[in-house]
Amino acid sequence: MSEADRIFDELAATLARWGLQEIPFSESASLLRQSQLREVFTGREQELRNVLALFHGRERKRILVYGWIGIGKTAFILEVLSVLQRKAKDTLATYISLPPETDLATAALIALAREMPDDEWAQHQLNLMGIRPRKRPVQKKGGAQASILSAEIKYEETTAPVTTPRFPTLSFEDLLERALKKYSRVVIAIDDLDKQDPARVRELLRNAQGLLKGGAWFILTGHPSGLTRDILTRDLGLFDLALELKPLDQPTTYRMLVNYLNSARPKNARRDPDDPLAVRPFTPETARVLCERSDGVPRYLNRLGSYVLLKAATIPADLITPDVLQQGLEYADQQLRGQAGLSPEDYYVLDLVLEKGILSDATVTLEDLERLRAKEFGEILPILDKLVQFDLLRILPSERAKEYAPTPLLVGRHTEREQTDKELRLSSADE
Amino acid sequence: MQNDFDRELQTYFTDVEHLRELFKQWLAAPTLPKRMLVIHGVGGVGKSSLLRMFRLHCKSIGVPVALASGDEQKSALDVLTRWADDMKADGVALPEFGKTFQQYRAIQAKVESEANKTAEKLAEGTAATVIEAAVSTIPGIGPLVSKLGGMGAEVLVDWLRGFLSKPDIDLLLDPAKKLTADFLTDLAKAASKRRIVLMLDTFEQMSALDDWAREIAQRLPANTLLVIAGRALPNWDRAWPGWMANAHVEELKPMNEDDMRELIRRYYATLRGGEPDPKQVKAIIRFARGLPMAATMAMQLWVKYGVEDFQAIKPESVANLVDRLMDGVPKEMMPALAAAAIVPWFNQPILRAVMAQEDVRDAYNELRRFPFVRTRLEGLTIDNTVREVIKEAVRLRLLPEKYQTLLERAITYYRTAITKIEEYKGGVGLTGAIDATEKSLRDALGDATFELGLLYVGQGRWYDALHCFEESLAIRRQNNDLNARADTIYQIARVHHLLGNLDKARTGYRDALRLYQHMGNAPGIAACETGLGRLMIQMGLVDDALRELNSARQIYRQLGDEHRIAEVEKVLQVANHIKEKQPA
Repeated sequence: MSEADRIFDELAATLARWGLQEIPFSESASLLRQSQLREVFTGREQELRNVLALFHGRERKRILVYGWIGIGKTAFILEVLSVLQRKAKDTLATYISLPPETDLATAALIALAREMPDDEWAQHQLNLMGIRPRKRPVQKKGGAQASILSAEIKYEETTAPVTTPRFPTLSFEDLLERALKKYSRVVIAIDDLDKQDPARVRELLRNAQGLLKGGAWFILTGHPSGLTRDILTRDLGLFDLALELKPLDQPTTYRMLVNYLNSARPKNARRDPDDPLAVRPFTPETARVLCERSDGVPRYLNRLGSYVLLKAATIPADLITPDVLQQGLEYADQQLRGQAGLSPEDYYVLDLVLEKGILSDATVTLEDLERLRAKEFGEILPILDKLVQFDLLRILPSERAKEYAPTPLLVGRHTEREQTDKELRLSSADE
Repeated sequence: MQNDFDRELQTYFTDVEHLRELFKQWLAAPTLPKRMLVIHGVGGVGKSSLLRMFRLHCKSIGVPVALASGDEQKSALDVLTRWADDMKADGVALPEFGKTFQQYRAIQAKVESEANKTAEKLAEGTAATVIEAAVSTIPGIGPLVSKLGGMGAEVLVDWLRGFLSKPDIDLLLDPAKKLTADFLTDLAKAASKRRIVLMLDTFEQMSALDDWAREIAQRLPANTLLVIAGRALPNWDRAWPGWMANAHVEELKPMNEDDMRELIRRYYATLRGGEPDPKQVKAIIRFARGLPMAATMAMQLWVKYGVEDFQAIKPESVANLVDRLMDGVPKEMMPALAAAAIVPWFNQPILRAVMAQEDVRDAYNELRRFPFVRTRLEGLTIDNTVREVIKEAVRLRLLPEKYQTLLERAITYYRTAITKIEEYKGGVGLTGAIDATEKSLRDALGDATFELGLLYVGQGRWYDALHCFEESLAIRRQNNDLNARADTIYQIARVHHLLGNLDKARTGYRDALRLYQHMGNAPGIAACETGLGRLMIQMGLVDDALRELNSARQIYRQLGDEHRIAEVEKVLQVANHIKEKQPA
């Protein structure tokens, strides 16, 4: 047995001692299988009620789901679509993450065509756009050749040239019409609008007013700032329901942790959240600290949980004690800061945010900016947004200013404001 | 001629006695307290006149003085040549510099002669290419390339290798490096015996020479004072963090009314003799708004164009002044004058492009004769104050339907010329003079796209406007003029605001505000605060809105801008109305 074989077996043994078949955490809900998502999706009862109630009505609706990056928007809409697919008869529900440089009509067209594998015209549309159709469409040529014993048909296959639809809204409407002949309701979820520039999202929405007010249901995701207070969406009434997903409370986060761990346990070894062993290899105490550290943001829980388990497996530790947890958190910090793709400029900006606690367009000084070889906050915005995508920073939900703060994934970098918030929460809990 | 001009200036120059006194004290001091005197302030505030007064003082006490201006000297070579001429006139020998310069001239002559031979071989009637037009403005290399029909950079260097040694080619292509070193060596010898003053005026036009000027400032021998005047401070903080400790920095503010009255009285005396009509004086004071250049320019126009009833010019009635100015302009010259006013400087290729005419020689020569048209290295330019006035008149009244077309043509020309120069620079070691020309074209493009952006905003073409402003900002970010940069950011914020991109508008207003605050630009600060106030109302943050709007109103009151005060008060009314309706 090689050294590598031995290490592999050792890691598997550690996981087995924890009662886990694998490390269950995942950075994005879109990476999970539908069955896995059902196992780990936790909380959001009221929000689900608000959305699912609409599907008991006749009227077609447009729903906006918004909240911080990592708050669980994708998981939420996938859960809604999954319920619809299982329970709502005659409903075609489809999901797409908005591809870069794509308008909403084209995205909706792709999403719908993918869910209509038997529709030749739909598959032809996908083929034209260079997207692999669910069933391979061919341009048919040739005719039938008859014989006495058998009838044989010969086809010549040719590849259609790739083109984007010239009139995506019209193409979508045509396809929707075909879909509505088979289904009574078509639901299209377009995700990740929050990953685009808010100004571009406004433009996309402005251009898609006709589409959104057409015959399909739409569920869109958006960023907490920019989009929701956007005059266009508000004044033109583009959405019937704008639903904000807020951070989960601590008990729900704890339940989510249990659900994730259970999803990696054999069926007969799954435990109730009230059972102290449900969070193994965490202790109830370290599990609570982990949840608190995640600030109710599922993505932070997943990233921290994953790093802590990886670290614990390499020690190897039978139990995640406070000391092991601390090592895991430090490991997470190291891994996040050492991510590939970060440039020296990114680190300069990160250092400034860490130094100031909160960096905002209202409080940044010219001296701060000059340290970064800039003179405008606008010049460093792309870097700040990149650091958000890398989970190093987060945007605070402020109306007054664009504010960036370190994420709780970084060790020992809790800002004064966050500390104060926590103290306030603790004191109100005491009362 | 120059001395006559300066002596005339002496008879009417007023104001900034403390700076003139400080300059005198420094020159008389055994050791210079600092190595630099940096003067900054808005255009037309009197920086150039002050430098000429400094020069007069130097001449009067026998201190050698040299003055170069960004208006005319665009490359390090130009500045050095100008300084060397001035030093020579004041009896300072620059042997090393002189030797190298002679060598440079000899190489140029040799290249010129070879170029003539080669040009004869080229087919006659080759059409002038854009590259020829663009590169022809580059001193030294430009005319040569023109002659050779727009030869590419690599080909040019290969061609030079045919008859020049490598050191000669290096000197031809980058003469500034060796000439600067020689100039400083000579200067160190001269300065060991006597005090010397070097001056750079209109420094904002020398942004391509930023690094060169900084190096000069750092390497200057003791006993040499460098005086720099420009609209903005040198942008040296990064490359030379301690530069401010080596300089006395002073901002020239617009003149107060008493000083302005005195200036007009004195200037009138030099122009006509006697005392001006007090009503005229009042009218000019109101027109000039504290800028001595505007006052003297208005009086010059009056005298040269025979406007006897100058008192008829009402406050803010710039159009009136232009009308009187235009009375003396033949109608057929209007398109040429409009085209010339659109651009910061022009030569025949630019005029040809902006007027969309094949032959502009007559118009160009006619423009040269106008009293407010001056020569500069790249060609001709209309004096800034007059240019702004004419441009405004073209936009609003004289040729409003043509204004946009003229701007668009100018932009197309600049973009093409810059692209061609970039391609051209792909060769070996062609920097220096080319950089200055490219910079000059880029600056002009930055200004033109900004103007076009404003025009598009007026037409409701917001996305087009945004595109223009962003192009302008990318250029202005390379410059020292933070006010111009802030103007562009403010306009971008305004367009985002109009488009409902509130996040971007907020960030933009704040970025512009920070720069305006840094520059002490009160109207800019007030404009940003007004924008933020409106935006905060839209966001439902009424208290924040009231704070911003009250601050803006306060500034407008200090500036006496009644129109803006009324505008802000309307918004304040809305904010107060909303606040009253809010639950306590």
